[in-house]
Amino acid sequence: MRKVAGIVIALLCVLFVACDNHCYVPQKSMLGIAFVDSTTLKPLEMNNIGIQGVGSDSIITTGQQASEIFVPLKQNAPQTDFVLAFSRTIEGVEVITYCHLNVSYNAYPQLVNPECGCVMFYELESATCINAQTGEVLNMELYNTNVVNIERDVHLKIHL
Amino acid sequence: MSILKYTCSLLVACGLSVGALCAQTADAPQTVVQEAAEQVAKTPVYQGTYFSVDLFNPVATLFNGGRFEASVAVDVSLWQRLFPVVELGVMTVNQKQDTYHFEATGGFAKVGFNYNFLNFKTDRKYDHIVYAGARYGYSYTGYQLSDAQISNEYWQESGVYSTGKRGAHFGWLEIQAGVRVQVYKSLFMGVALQIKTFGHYYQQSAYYPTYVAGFGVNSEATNFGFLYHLCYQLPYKK
Repeated sequence: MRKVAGIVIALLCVLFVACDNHCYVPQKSMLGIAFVDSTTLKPLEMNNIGIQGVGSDSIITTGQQASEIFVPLKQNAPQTDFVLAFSRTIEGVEVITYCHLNVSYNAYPQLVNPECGCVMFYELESATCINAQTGEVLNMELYNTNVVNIERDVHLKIHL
Repeated sequence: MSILKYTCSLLVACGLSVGALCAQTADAPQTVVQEAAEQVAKTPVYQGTYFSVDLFNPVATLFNGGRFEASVAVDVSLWQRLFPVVELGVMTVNQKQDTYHFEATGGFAKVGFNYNFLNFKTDRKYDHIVYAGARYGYSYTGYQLSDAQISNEYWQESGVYSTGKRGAHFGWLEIQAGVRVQVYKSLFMGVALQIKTFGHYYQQSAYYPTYVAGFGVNSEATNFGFLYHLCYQLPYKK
């Protein structure tokens, strides 16, 4: 009986430490940008959002109706530029805003775990969004400077 | 007047009776407390020192991706109820995969206590215990990530990256429950389960080690552990 118990315990130990080869966490880190009402600080849903990286032929997202978007940062450069366009209704009138978004940061590699491998993390230093039509600098808040592999994490807030 | 004298005498007599009754009642709990105190006083405070070495985690190196961890512990039996404990350990990791090379070395210490729920009478035949306890753990882990291959589909980037040598101070709270059985004279064997949580870094940093000495995988808020240890009990006068 004692031998059986010992064998069972040994088997349980092996199972306990046996590796699961699946990755259960995101394998990318994305910059989250949220639109908020400057008075109430509540999320502000845009009728239409489009964003494209400067230097890339692909559009990240377009036609999206949302209060937040998530974009990838360059890993081989200290900063990334985007062209951001968003529209909202103000007093019955649709207002479209185009702005040039610049984000600067420090990039560093991180081993998440053996199953997921390595992901590039970022520590934000600054972010500005300049209205392409008026030259006005939008009110942008650096809400969370650590861009890591957390899904739907917000890092920048544009106050409108 | 005589009625007044009679009434006063009656009141005095009642008062004295009640006083006597209260005194008698007060004596009863005092006796129980005294008896309990006497029993505790008869129980020896010091009932042995135990030196333990964990055998499970060094063997588990074969199954956990090459993370080696070993620890030893010392605990002292007080009234065979309370066991203050100190644990010391080391960890080394050297994981070389196609997409990264991760190395880490660290040491850890834990301080806490165990509480024995069974078998604590002075006339017991064996020193088995069934216990639960808590510890605070502290560790320092030096680490380095190199040859990390990371790519970015949108920006069509890829590269090989390194962090350089870094270090981190870490603390956590640990709950442990287990059994320790007297196998032969001064030799004991035991198993225990650990729950490690409330991990925190002493300094805020953008970098962190993937494996923290004594705690486990950093990305997990709670880590579970298992111990199988051999113990030696220092002889003591019973």
